[in-house]
Amino acid sequence: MGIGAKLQHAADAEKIGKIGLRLTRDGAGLVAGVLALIGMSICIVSSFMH
Amino acid sequence: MNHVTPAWLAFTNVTPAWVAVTIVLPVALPLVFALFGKFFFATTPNQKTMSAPGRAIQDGQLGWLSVGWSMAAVYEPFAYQHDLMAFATGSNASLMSYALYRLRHLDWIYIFGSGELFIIGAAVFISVGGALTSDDKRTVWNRYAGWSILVALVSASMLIHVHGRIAAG
Repeated sequence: MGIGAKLQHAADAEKIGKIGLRLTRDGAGLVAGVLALIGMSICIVSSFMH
Repeated sequence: MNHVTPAWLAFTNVTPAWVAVTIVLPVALPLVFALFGKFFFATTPNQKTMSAPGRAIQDGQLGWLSVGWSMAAVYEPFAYQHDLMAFATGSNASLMSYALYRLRHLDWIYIFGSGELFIIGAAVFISVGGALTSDDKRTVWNRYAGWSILVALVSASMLIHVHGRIAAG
């Protein structure tokens, strides 16, 4: 593998790494958001139940 | 106390010890350690200059606070029942039957607890997601800051509500 190909490979890997990081971050945020909305709804309603 | 008393007014069980252990320490200790890390273990210029609390919030670390407060809110009604029945029976002989009798009148605890489990799940996703994807860039407030603050506030308000409500009986 020549130096050009190595550089290209490194650049690709970095790009994929950034996309993966972004997907992980957004995915965890999305799951958390859904769980938080469900949990908040149940808690707020139930805490006023008698 | 009776059922006419609004629960949010009945903070008769808010003792200094409760406030210290449940609210002050969980907020203050991580902050102290964050500042400790910033001043003694920071290696890069960004780590040295950026706000340690701000960085923790943007990376979702308030989620741990939310987990703790949610667990406390689930635990407290049951602990209160235990205290109550120990007081009422004067012994441990019939604790379990009396506990079951009392808990039948507190059905909302189970629904509330299941809701808190969802919030704990959300908080863990925010905390772990923020920790795993944390980097050395400057503070970016649009990461987990919003959810982080939201789940912590919801857990705190739920804990205060429950704490007041079990005092009201």
